[in-house]
Amino acid sequence: MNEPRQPALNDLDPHGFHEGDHDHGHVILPFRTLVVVLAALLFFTVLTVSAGSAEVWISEKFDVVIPTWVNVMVAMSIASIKGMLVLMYFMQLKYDKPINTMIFLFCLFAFALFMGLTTIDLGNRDRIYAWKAPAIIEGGNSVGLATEAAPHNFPSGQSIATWAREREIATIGPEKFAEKVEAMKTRETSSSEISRPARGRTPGLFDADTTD
Amino acid sequence: MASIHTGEPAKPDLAQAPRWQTYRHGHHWRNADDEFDAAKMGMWLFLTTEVLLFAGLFVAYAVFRMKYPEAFVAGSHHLSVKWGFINTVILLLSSFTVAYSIRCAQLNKQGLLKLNLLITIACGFAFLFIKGTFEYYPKIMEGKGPGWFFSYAYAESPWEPIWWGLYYCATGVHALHVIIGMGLLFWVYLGARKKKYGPTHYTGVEITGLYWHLVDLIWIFLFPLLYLIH
Repeated sequence: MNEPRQPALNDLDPHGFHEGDHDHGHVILPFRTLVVVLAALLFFTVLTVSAGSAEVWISEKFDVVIPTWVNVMVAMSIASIKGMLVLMYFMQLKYDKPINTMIFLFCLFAFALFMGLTTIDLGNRDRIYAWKAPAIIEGGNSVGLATEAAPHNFPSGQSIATWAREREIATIGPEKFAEKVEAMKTRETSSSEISRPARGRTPGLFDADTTD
Repeated sequence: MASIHTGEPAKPDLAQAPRWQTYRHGHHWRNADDEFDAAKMGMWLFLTTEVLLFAGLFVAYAVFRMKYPEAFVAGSHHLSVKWGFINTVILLLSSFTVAYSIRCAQLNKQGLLKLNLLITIACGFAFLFIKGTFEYYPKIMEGKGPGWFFSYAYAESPWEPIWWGLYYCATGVHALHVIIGMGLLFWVYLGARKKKYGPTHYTGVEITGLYWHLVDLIWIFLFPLLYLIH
């Protein structure tokens, strides 16, 4: 029982630094694990890209409208799985002291609070004051606020996109501009409500005033 | 090494031994483990601040997307999924090589350690090259620039500049992290050339690796948010 302490018979620990405490996050990940995790990450990357294309294909083939939230949920779920793989294996949280995992989970909790309260507020403002629903903050919608202090700003009350468009029309003429817009319309339209790729220009935003 | 197996403490020849073997932990630490764990925990604390920095951008994305969905749909259709995908693969590969380099340091494979670090830095260059040449440059040339530099006449939504501002902000801050990470990895590489890292001391490789993995982690979420959600 009272044998003298022997240094660890371990070539990887010649000074006996880790003698007796092998559970302190000093794990040597097997090469196989690293390769399998990399393969899984690449697989999920291909999956998330093809899921987007598959949704488009399904909605066009069967002429159904897939709501945007399906698109968002699929993409974010796959991203979360990938993130978890990186955190657990590459960043070694699975083998590490639990304190590091707790630190990171607390950070995610703070992020969830930040994101959750902000979006709940934005989505429900009109429940208390109806007039707050469409609240537009001056300058917050990329509308120019030319002032004496900043005279170089683009025309007041105009979006920078509208301004760019007007300059283009002034340069190449309204006919040529309408032609170019028409050429971009050859594909199907998309909107924020349906999960489809760009098929041309969304009607009704700028197109109404192209002719005048 | 033979002395270990005879039961005597190892006495490395200090003049000949590599630096990782002669490394002694700071005198205010109980042992090398405590020093290592504290360094790692400090890095994790720093990484939480990094996550919260990007959290601001993710929340901005959510708010503007809720407010101007058409602008985001129109804007994301201008991005190339192909280049985004290739860049994702490059970053995942670089994450693998960093994790592998930590294993090499732990097993005292000095040559592979240096090679893996160099491959990781090369991946960083490839990522930035693709981002600059095939994404930023043509878009800015077409007038799809951030903020004041927006002059694209064929925007589908008057609020599309908001999308471009957020796109350049998010990918730009991420690219800045890639550049910083490459600098740190080069510093680790210089240390590895002097045999600074080995089985008993690899703190620098480990925590720099954590930073690089975070860069990868952020991109894992930026890629679907910017390129895939339409």
